[in-house]
Amino acid sequence: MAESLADQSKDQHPVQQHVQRPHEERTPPHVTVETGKDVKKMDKQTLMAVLQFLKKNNLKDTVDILKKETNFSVSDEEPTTATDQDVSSVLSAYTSEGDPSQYDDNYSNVLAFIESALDMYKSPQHCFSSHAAVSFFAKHFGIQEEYHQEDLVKLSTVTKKEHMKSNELMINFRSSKFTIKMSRDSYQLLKRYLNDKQQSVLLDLLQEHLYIDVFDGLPRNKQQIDATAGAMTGAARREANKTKVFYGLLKEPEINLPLEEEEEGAEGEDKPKKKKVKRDSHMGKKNKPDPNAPALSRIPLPSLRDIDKMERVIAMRETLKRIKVSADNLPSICFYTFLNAYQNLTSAEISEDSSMMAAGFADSLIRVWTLTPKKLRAVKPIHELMNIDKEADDVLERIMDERTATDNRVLLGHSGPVYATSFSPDRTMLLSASEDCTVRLWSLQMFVNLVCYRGHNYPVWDVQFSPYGYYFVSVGHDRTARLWATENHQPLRVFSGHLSDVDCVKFHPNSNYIATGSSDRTCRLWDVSSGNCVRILTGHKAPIHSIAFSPDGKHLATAGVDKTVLLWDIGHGSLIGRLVGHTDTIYSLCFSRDGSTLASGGIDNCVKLWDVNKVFGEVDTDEITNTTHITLSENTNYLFGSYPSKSTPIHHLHFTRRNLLLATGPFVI
Amino acid sequence: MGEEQPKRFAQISRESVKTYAESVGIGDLSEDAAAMLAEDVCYRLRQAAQASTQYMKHSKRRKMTSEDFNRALKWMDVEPIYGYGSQDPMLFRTTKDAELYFMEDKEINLPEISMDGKIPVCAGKTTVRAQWLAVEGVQKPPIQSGPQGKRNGQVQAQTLSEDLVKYHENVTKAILGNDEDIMKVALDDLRTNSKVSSLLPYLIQFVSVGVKKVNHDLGQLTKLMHIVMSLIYNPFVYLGPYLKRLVSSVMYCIMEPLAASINPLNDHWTLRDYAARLLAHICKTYNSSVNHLKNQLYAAFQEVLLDHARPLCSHYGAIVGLMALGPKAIEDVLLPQLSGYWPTLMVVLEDTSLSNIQVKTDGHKVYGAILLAANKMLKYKQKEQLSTKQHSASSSPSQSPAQEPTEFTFGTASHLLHLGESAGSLSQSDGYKLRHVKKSVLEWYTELYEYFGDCLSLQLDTITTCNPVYEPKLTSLADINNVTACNEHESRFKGELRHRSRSTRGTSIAVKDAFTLPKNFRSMRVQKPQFLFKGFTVRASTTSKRSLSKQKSIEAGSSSSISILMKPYGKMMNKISMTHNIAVARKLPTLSCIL
Repeated sequence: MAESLADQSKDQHPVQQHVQRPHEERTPPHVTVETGKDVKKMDKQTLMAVLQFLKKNNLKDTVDILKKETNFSVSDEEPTTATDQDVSSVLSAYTSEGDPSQYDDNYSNVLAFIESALDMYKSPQHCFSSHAAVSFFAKHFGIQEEYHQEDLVKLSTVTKKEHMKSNELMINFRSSKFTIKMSRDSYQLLKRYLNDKQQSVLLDLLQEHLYIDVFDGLPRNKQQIDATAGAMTGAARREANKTKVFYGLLKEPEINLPLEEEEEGAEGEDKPKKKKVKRDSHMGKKNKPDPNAPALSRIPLPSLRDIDKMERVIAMRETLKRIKVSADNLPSICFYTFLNAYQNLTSAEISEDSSMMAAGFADSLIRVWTLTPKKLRAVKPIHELMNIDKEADDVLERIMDERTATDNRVLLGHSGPVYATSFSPDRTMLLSASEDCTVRLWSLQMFVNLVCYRGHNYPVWDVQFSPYGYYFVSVGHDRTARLWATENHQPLRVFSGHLSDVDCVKFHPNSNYIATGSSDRTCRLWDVSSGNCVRILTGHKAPIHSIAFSPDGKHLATAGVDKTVLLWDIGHGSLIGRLVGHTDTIYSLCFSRDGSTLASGGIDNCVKLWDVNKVFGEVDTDEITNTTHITLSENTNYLFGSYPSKSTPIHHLHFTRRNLLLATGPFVI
Repeated sequence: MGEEQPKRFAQISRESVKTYAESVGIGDLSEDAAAMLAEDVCYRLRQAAQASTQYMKHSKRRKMTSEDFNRALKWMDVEPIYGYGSQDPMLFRTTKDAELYFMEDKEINLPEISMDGKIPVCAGKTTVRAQWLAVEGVQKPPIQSGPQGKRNGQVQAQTLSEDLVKYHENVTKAILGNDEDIMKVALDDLRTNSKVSSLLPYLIQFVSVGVKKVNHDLGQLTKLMHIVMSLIYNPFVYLGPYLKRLVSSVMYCIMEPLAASINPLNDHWTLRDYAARLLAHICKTYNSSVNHLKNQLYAAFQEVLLDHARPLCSHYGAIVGLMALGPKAIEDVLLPQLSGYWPTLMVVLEDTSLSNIQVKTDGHKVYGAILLAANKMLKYKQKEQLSTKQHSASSSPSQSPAQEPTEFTFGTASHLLHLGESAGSLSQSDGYKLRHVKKSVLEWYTELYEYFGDCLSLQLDTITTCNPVYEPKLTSLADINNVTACNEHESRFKGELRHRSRSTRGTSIAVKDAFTLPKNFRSMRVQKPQFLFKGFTVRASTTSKRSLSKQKSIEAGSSSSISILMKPYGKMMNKISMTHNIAVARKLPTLSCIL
């Protein structure tokens, strides 16, 4: 209190005053009123200075400008030194606020507000004169949270009105509102203050460009705010994550016994009964209706063919042999190194059953390798197929041409780097996404291109087959994700909403949702059936390059350029964990088949294994009611192990059905 | 404050814009327009750069390539830059005089590339190799098989037993230490101990790192070579897996211009000879049709010989290396290169300027080495011929041994004739096959005669009786003195010695060098017998600078002035040798040969 009084006497010295602020912030919450006053004071000075600055620039129609930012006129006047000083004094005040200590909610909110306000201001400002823009930018730099720096760098390149029109970031800021979460108390204080002072400029600005998401409850601290901040347009709104998501797994279809027995007979007669019993118990668990699972008919799925059923039986049998991953029982890692790739490898993918690997190259080639002793074989030519007895039991084997057996095949057809590939669940087809705007479907039985899907107008960054086949989703530079069915040459759904490139995509294990990660630093979950965005997950401070769903469908892991892995609870749409340790961009994530471990790897040439069970365990105990108050324990060590390679960045990680970890990457000299 | 902002981005100045405008024919671009354009271009460039990061990120690289930028241009509807992108970075250069900055973009002369015969190595096929990164959560320490084995030190601590570590420590210490006795013990042990093999990677590592670290210290280098010798003579050790590193260390000593060779006082020549012999032994023992060691060595030596820019000591190394590998190597690699190499050597040898002395002495070393190699080859050829033609009566050269060297008074031509006869008789009988396959001795001889003249002819005679292995032995000073006092024909030096002693003016090492020469000095035939002063021997001090000048004056003088100069020179030399007692036997007539 005494300090605050003393401060009032120093009204004219904002710098000094704010230097003392951190002390003040440590006062207990019940002195909110005083703090509020303080905020007002600071706000006043800020706004005064900003206004002064604007006035000095002969902008009487500032309000109009801010309302319609395209209407301004370019100022004739160079900013005077006085202006500079004004601005610097105000800005240095912010700097002192930027001290990373515990801030109380009001304080941070105002800070966030000012930040965003200044973000808004920047657009007109930059157009006044390049001179002012540069100086403004320079001062701004230190104040902004570091995760907005990338935007600022981009913005700072914009110095002309004409450029504004075409700059994507500018358009984003102008067309969408920046969301700020605020507790009710803080909001009221802010509103009262603005009304009192008749800060019409700010009010308009607020209405025009900011969306204040008011929540009830205790104000958050700086750390809590930081956890979810970072996206291009601020934190996600609360109602955006309200929709119910059916994150449960689809009910496994009953597989008729005759087939199983056939399988058993083929595999070995010695212990069929034992296995059957086990599987029955396994199935028994699954048969309980999961309240969170979507109905089987929610989206039409292809009916199971015999071959799919057989595949499932095999998969299940493999599951029984699975090794549980834990701290005492870590998985082995087998590394497939690409030799002589010459910086050419752009993507790698391993099929679900770990039998094949596909790699996309910058020279537009796709190579497919077999990882098992079983060679890649093509179907015989037509005139030979004619002679085959179609009723034979081993007709599928007979149609294959032994003469074509080889370890790897090259698929040629794209005209640009292949940024992603994806195997169909039955491994008869392969999808590839390329810079040439197309997605291509290849047959792995004939090794030819079947379909070329055109729809994206810009490079396609990622593509993935649905776990049930038939559908696939592609994302690209055109900021959309598109859902396709293999038999249609037009997309079935276009998911748009991201404000920048969509860099990666994954299907939910139940095939009803897709998750996309974008350069706008958000991850979104989309409903395949309605095409709506059902979750917006904010928290990354840099573009997202990798997404993985946990095998039970409840959780999501995302990672990217900011070197951290974030773990999300899909049901609540909240951040539940943060894994820090990588030193460069993370390009691959993979959950172990039992969901207890997460593997991550990237261009820091290191595979890391994380104990995600621990993370989920910690969170699941306390019910998540308040999604705004996220506290992440930073100190806990979730790392199981870290396995560096010599000089090989990790492009793809894959757990086999028995929980052996496969990693791939090109050896880089 | 605004003006002092550091430039965050690359800027294009108005001047640049104007220059570009002029280059496309717009002379009168206004200042405003230029400024506007400059600003716009900067912005566009930045945008393109930002856009290209996206392509870099999706290629999962850290380094942006020109391809990335080109793609960004393409998608910004700008005409991309045509042609092939390169992985190599472009060099940004500046001229020294004018303030001009530019990208180095050399014109590539395609015909030259296509004609120079170097077939580019075909890029390897992209393959996938599987290995275990970790087994059940445990990552093995990386095992370095390549030459860059820095981590070996760590491995050592983990995998070796304490005793072995101790042994390794002691042995290396002993060998590099100053106590010669301990060193000998250590080396002996290395040569005979059967348990060294587990230490092998570390010892090899020790040597290969060592040669690079102590290349200023000949003594230490020699000791490291001693280790190599001990290891290759150890019957319990199989060096196969470490061959590459071992050979590269030895080759380093043979051919690298060592830091120690900068100082003319250092006798790095002996080290090179020694290392060459080691190499020959390694090659003999471990060459196989699988590793092609011999061929690889041939190629390495040939490459050095072809590269005339390399220092003479490297060439010397290559020559002694080839010589050690045997007559076959000389015949196949060295002599075919001679025609190309000779002019370069002659340029060095004929440059009499003062500044060239050091190089010239090196040149003489090389000359001597080639001569020796040529002789060795000829001798071998001759033997070969003789063995194929046992009944040939023309074995007189081999049977006119050093016991009667004085008999060799007949002239060069007659000797040539003599040889010619033998060759002729050979071809008449069953030499057809031989001649068909390779050059005969005569052919080689005539070819080499063009280079060496008479030095060669005599060598060919005597060499047959000499011990073919060049065995250095420490000879006591007394021996040398005896030798010098000895009869003329016994004290004749081979051609190499002549160069050796000449090359070591003012060096004390040279003395030692002279000592290491074989006792059975090969007799020397002089081209012009009138300059042969029988029984006249001179002891040349190797420390005297004056001798240098004297010698120079001798060289400069005409043949007639020699006899005049000879006397004071000889006297002085005698005097010096008496006082210093360090002497190199020098036969003056050899000087005249060079004149």
